[in-house]
Amino acid sequence: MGSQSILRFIPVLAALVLLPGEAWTEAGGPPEAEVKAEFLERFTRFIDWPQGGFKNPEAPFALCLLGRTPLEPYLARMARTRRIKDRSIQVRTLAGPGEVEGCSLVWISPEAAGSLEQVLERTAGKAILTVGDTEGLAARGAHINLKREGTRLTFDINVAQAKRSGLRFSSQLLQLGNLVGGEAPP
Amino acid sequence: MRPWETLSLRSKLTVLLFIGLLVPMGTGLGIVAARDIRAFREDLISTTSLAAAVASEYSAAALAFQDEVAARQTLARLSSLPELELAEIQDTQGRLLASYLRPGVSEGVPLPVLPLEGRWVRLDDEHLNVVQPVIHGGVRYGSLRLQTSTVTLQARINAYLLGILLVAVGVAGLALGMAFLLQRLITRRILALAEVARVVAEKGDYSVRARKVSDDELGFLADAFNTMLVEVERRQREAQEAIRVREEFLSIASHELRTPLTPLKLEVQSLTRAAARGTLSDQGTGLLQRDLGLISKQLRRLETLIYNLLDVSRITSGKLQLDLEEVDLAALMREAVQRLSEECRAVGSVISLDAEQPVVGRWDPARLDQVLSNLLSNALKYGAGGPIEVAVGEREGTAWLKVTDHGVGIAVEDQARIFDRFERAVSVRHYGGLGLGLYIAQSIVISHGGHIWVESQRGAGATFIVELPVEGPPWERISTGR
Repeated sequence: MGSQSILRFIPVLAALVLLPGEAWTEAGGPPEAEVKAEFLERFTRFIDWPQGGFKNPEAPFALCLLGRTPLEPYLARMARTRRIKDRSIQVRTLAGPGEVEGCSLVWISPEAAGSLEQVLERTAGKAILTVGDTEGLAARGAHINLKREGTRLTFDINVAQAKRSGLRFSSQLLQLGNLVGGEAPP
Repeated sequence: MRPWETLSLRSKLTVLLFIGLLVPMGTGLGIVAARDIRAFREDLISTTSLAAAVASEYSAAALAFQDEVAARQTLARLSSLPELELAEIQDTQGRLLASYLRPGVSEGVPLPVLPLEGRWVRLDDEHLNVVQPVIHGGVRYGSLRLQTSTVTLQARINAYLLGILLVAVGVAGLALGMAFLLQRLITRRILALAEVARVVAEKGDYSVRARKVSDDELGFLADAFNTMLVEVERRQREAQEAIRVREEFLSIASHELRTPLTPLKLEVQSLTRAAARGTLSDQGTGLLQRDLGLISKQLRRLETLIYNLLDVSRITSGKLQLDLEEVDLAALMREAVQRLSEECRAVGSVISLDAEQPVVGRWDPARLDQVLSNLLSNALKYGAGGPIEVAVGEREGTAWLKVTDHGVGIAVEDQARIFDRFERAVSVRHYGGLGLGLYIAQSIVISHGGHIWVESQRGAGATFIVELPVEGPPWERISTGR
């Protein structure tokens, strides 16, 4: 189809466009880290945090990064230009799982995937979204795990975990992702 | 208006019925069709719009994550929507994320540049297009476009148009049929009347009658028509009868007028011959007097006939004048009897007069004398030589007189008729005269405000009775202020 005309627009529309990775590499499109950063922001649009999830109405939306990650510069740029849930964005790099308190979203990089259990322990019962991009992370208890299916970037959603955390996942998001964790969406 | 007036009754009925039936039926069907088509159209729009709205809800995430597969799945669910031809999901830049094209449909119709806000709907001849913006959480991700076929809508409209056409054709047939029945009911009967009128007009046959089949206006018309025919027939018969009577009268009158002429001519001829021979003086004074007496008798007879005819014409034209004065009816009667004494002797009758007291009233003596002479002449004529009784008297302001004979009499059924013009109870062969005497007598009596009638039986003689108010005719009394 008209991929030429579509590709012409890509530099201008980088903020919105998420095309299969092969197309990006061929055309010198945005790196995968940028796409994943965008995905993080999109997830927040289809997930509602409970009223008590933030300390006060002015409290920022804290994007916490566990482990070193190439997403960091893109998220930092996003924090300067955009808002999530009508709040300012605060990107925080965590030294370890013990610092998850006060985070709204925790990005678990592949090198920190081993400490998932500790993170889950700290975030249990709290409205903290856990996202990563390590194979099987969602099945192990993270809310969402990004993964590549052929040319598409998709994600797994652990529904049971989502329910437990008090976060409300939009049915649209549930429809889009692969559901894991053995429980059907409500 | 001209062409309408020249149409036959049946055509007018057909046209009126057609209009009268088609207008309400067509209007009714038109309203139903318009409402149904509108409802169907609105239904199509709302069904499509609802489907678009629902699908757009599920398209937001797909657009947000640029998930082609999910977008295609969403569109695939829409394929169950009847009439769907095309479904597309575009992002805000107009790039196609996913599309669905029903097999057999080539491509979507081109759409104009659309406003960003709200749902956009366009219904044209063949397609319905709905463009629904995809919005989630206040963020617009793109739009969903659905295109459905309006072929079924068009088919339904066509079906209604066909229905209206069929109704029009059916109504036309119905109107023709009803007009035919109505024509049978109305015009056929009018035509029957017209046929009767034609027979009357062309053949002059007034004995035909219109057949009355109902009690409605047409029945009334037939009745009125028949009544008219009866009246016309009666008048025609009367006119023919009047002509017959007049012709008969003329023949009688000419005979009667000739009758005295023959002896008159003979007497005059014999006197002329005697004068020529110079023997006139030889005949003697007595013979000459006798001849002259005969001549004058015939002349009187002629005079009477002519006066009678003049009287009839006066009576019929209403110009009978009365010269009223104080008259003694008894004296008048005596004079009349005296005057007819010669004729009495000739037929051998004896008149007995009962008029002791004078009966004085205000009458026309000359006219009353006519009445008395007529009655006495009739009594002598039809009295068969029998005695004749005459009486005069007065009772409570009314004078009366009776003339009774013992002759042939008059049958009861003829008694009214004998007072008519040119009528008599017996045949002309046996009795001469014009048949005017009683008619004139009755007219004179009535013009005096009186009555005349007869009491008689066939073969038993007759009594003519006259009654007259002594004060004279009532209307004369009023006009003279008495």
